[in-house]
Amino acid sequence: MAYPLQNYLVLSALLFGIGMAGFLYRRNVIVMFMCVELMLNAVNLTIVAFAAHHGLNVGTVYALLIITVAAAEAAVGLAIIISIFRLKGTLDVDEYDQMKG
Amino acid sequence: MENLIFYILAAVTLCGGLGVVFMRNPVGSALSLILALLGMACVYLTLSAEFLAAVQVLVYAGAIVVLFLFVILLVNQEKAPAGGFSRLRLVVPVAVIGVSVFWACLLSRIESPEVFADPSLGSGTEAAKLLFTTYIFPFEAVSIILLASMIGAIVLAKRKGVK
Repeated sequence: MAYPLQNYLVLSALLFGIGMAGFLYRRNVIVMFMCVELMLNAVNLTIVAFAAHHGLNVGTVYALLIITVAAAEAAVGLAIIISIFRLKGTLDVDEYDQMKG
Repeated sequence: MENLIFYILAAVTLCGGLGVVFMRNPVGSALSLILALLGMACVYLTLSAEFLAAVQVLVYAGAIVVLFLFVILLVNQEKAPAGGFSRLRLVVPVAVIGVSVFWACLLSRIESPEVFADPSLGSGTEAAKLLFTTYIFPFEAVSIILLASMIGAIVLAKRKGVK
């Protein structure tokens, strides 16, 4: 099974666009966080596809490190979401206005 | 039509991604995220990155999404407004998706060679060889990041006043 490189790049671009659109569109902070994970995945796919394109072996390693950092980020981010939910009692990001942003 | 398998996988992945964005219920979003991540794992298989596909299923679909589901169930959304869609900002995602579709069309115009999917490339053995020799420092750094994030998550999520 060998597919052209552009297949992977197009899929990755579309997935990144969907994730970014969701991040801008949704107001539920958990769903926004899921959209960030979607974007991370899209970038991962680009890295792995280019590495395979150049016949390199490091694509797997880089993607592995990115997945690990994404897991750490998810743990900390969800802890922050829980504590801010305790503070404000809502998941709506428009209500998070303590810093007057 | 040798690309048919790839198109099916890509369609499943993109449907999962769209489900994350447009599902009204956050639980539905999380389940769509699982669909998207499994689709990505299958796409990794077409690149002969089997180890990465396994890690994707185990870590992402198995651990991270379950964490998301736990948090969704932990915060009581019946009482609290969850925040749905913002109608006014609909212009922005439409613009973003439009730009990315345009970009994808541009990319698909390029004549590119087929990806040489060497079966030995993505195997766990090769990844481990690299990970424990050349990339030993990033590997150790990532373990410290995991430890720090674990402690950080415990400290952040701890209720005030609970010792």
